Amino acid sequence: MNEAAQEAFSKTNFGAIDTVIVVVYLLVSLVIGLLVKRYAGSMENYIGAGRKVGPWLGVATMTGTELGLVTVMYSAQKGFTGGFAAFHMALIAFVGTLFVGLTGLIVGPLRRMEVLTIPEFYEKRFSKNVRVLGAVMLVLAGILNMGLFLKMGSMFIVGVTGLSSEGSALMWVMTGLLLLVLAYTTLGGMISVILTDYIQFVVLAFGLLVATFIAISSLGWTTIFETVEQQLGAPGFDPTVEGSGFGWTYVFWMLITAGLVGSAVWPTAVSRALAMESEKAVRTQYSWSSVSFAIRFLIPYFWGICALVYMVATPQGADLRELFLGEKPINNLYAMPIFLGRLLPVGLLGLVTAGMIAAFMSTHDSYFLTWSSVITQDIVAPLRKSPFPTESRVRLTRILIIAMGGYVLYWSMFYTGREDIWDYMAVSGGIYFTGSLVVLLLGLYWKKTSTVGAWLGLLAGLFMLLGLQPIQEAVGLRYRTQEGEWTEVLTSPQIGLFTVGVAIVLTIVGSFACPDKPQPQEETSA
Amino acid sequence: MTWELLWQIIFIFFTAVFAVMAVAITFLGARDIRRLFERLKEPEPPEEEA
Repeated sequence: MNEAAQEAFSKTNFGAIDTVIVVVYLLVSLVIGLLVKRYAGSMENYIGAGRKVGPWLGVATMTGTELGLVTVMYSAQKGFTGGFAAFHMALIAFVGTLFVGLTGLIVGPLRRMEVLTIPEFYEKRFSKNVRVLGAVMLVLAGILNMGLFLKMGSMFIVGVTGLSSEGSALMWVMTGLLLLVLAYTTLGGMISVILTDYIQFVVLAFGLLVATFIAISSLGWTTIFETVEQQLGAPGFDPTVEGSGFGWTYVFWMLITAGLVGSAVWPTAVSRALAMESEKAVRTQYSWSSVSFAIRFLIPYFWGICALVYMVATPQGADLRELFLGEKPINNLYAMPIFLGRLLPVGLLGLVTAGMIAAFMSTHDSYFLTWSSVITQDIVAPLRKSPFPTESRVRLTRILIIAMGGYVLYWSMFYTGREDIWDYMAVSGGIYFTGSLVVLLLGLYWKKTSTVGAWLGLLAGLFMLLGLQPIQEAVGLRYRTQEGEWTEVLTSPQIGLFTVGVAIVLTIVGSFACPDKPQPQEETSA
Repeated sequence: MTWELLWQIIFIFFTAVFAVMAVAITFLGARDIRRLFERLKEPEPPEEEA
């Protein structure tokens, strides 16, 4: 990072009081993990909180999980670059989640079947092999997907606190945060995850609202809209315009990802549904969470927009103009945290930072718990021929959580790939969810879906690999023109829609070509 | 209706609903936590092993 950037980063309001607030908050999280350890004895309690979570706590924990720091960072970036046009994704997320809540689509039948994970459904509906295949794809995609979360967290902390990104302090802070998450997640499992999610919800909900109010008061409601109009023009408001960075293909892709996958297929959200006390509670949870699903995008978009307005339309942000909007701009993921660091007063900045760090931790704890429990329940347990007692399952899950922590730390510190991470994340997640969405939908609602069809549908997700830049370049989907500019034959959203289409076709064709033989009731190893 | 007006309405609507919801969930969620622990203290039926 150059000197001008370091100078700009240091102009934050973050002080000693804010540090104290953050530290106290983190200690409370650790204490909770220690206190609830005694309840985490059985596998059902450890990964599903005993399926005894009430609807309102369910909404809080769903919001706590899905309102992650990574989401906030990327959403703010979308607002910064795309303006108000990005709001369409929030609207889609609201409609999709509300639809799932009102109809019980996917999550209702899953809860009724009393499965703990999505691959467990694959075994109940198809076969043990489909369960293992689904779990392997889910874990591969999920673990790859979370590999850069820690890096995003560190960018936020650098931006808000002014901590140097090049010294050793940041490394120790990130390692400490990771160890804290590992401690309370391995100790308390889902129960401690849910409790910390609740505290996070309370802190972050009020932090988001107050910070937004201060941003509007400081910049002016009318100024915000006028500046976006001047800077971005019509594409700053209309998501269907191709120049907005979105366009119709993107909107359709968002209907699937933000609308359906985010709420009803992505395992961390589904695991919350499966921990609920009843199907009715699941529907209540989703119906109310639809507002949170909209807000988790809407407010960060707005903060990103405000960061842009702060740089363009206020004298205080003038030093950031060249840094972010000049010829050699620095990574605009830093725009929102720097803006917050300068906008919020001492105390409130600490509270919001604590909430954001909590959001960072809550995403990690959920991902650790979800992926590790999938490995234990859906890969190791079905493949074992000898009995697999509860104690061993919980122990293995804990070991896996720690191993994943090591991987995340390694990946975030030593990964030196390109900064264009969003595509990487969308593609890696898509390897799982494109096939899984189709197999879940057809498996639940079309009786003729067969085991072969499910295999083909899940494997179709591998087409998403075509969205990765090195593979795109290797197969000629992305090439450099004579003018030296890179051109894509197919964009990531187009590849995503194509993959979903292929998964549908393969699942249906496979089901008709190789239907399942009528069988007596199958046993499961759940 | 213009896009600008639509986004203004959506932003104000969702922020207002979320504010009310945040207050409600703070209290109702705390009640659910109390109930969760009461139920976790109840004796569990024996688990099936694979």
